[in-house]
Amino acid sequence: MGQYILKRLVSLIPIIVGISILVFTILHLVPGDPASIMLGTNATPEAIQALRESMGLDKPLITQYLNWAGGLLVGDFGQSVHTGEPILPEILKRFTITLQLTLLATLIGWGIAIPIGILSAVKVHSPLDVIVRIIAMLGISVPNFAIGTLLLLGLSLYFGWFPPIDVVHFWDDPVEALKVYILPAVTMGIVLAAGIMRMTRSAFLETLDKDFIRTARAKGNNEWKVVIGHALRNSAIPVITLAGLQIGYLLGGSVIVEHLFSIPGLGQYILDGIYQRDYPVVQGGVLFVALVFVLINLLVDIIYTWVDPRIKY
Amino acid sequence: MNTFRQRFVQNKTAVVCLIVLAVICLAAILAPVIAPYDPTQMFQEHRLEGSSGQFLLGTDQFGRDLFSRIIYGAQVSLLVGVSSVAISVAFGSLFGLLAGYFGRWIDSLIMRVMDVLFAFPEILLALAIVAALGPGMVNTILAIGIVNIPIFTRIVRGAVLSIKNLEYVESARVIGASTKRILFLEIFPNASAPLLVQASLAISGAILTESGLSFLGLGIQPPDPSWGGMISEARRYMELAPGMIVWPCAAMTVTILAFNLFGDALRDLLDPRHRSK
Repeated sequence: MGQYILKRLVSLIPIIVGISILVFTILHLVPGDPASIMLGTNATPEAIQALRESMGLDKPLITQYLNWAGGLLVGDFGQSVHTGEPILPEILKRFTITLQLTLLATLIGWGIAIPIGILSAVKVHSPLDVIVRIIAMLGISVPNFAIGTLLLLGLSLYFGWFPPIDVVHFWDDPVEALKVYILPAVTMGIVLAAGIMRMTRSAFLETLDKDFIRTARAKGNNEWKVVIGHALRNSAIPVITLAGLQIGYLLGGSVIVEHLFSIPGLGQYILDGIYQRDYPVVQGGVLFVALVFVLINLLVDIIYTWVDPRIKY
Repeated sequence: MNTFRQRFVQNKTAVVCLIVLAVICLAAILAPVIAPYDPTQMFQEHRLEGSSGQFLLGTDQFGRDLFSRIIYGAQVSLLVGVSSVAISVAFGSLFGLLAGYFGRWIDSLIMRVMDVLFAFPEILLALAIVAALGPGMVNTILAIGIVNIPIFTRIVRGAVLSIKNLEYVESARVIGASTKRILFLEIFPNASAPLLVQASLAISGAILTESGLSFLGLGIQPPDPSWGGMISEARRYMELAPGMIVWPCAAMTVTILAFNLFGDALRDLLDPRHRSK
């Protein structure tokens, strides 16, 4: 197992190099000169030249990439053009916020989706199943910002309630933090739940069709023991795959929800970087999210072996 | 064994969705005829009004007719959805065919590049590309098109792998058909069923991403109407004119739902494993 993890980590190296090249290339394809774009139209040629030199933009692209990548290896993501602050500490600070939001959203999403998905599969074709399927289909068809905006609208219009503005960490003040995060987390959780619900339902339907389930039923087990004791673990793989993907997407895809609810997370940091044309920030932020995404996928593969001992690497 | 058309007609979901999609497409194409007003025309004395005889769904903060804006918004959404997926399908199919058919280093090279593209959450990669290219409709289409290439590459490659050693391909090779002919006329048509299903689902995803980008102010630029942009603008006025949020949300949900359900129904119709159920 340890060997497998090591092998996977090594095989990630070319992917990570590829990711860094891609991120670098995208943001250096900017038509026009980044320095003059960043400084705006009123900048003097001297100021532009100075910024070009301080950012290393006067060097060939390959040198620029190697300088940047070399810095990454020792944890130096460069400085923000806008504030002059180093980027990595800011990314990590913002990431803790996004992480709390993601975990709460996941908790809400799974809490709703897994029991309902199982119930829907057990009572397949019942009115409950039909309603669940309609709601789940709606859930994956409504954009998260629409759900979030409608939630905000409903709560402020009918209850006069707005989420607090200052962001608090869960470990500092759980109650206040819950007030901050609950709306964005529910918004993300609903979209998450819709996908998980569909996946749980179809995975269980497939498993419940198998011979060993018939055997378990024939032995006279009660239905819930069959479902929880026999079917659960055998249906878990596709659900875990989707869940892993979703957590990865949430970490990066929370941009919109963070923007909507003014949560200063990593997504908002990247977005501000784009608005302010602070390309080192965008570059560092996007790279960081992609790295986390890749590591989560690795984690999912490791969890497979724990859930299903038949999977050996 | 019924023909595809017979089975299609029997599938209620597929038929209903097709009708809904046809209506939306027609509305988008005929927008200049159907929409009562120009989507950017401002009626200053009718700002933030509710539904009325004059303005079917009410007006926004500049007194623009919401109904007209939603119909023109459909034009934008469908154009972005269909053209970006066309880009993804074209490049994805080409890469998938090459990787699946030739194997070896071509396969490794293409698939490693796709792995890299896959390592980004969609919206983030689209954001990064739009950040570099600048906002606007063409760049939004490009960004979403690029982001979706890996999915199609994987699907086509998988299909090609299962087809390329079948006897009919073998016989085409034996009678001396060119590689180009085998790839595009023998293999590709038989790999197109899963492609069609994924394309339908990808269009709904592309519309979602476009609306997200426009919501963030990085997609379609005002005053051009786009559903995401409309919702974003509406946030400041949501208590005064809830219709500004509710109607674009509804339009978007119906469109995306129709594409999703249509994709699901197509899968049931085209996939033999689903057919028996």
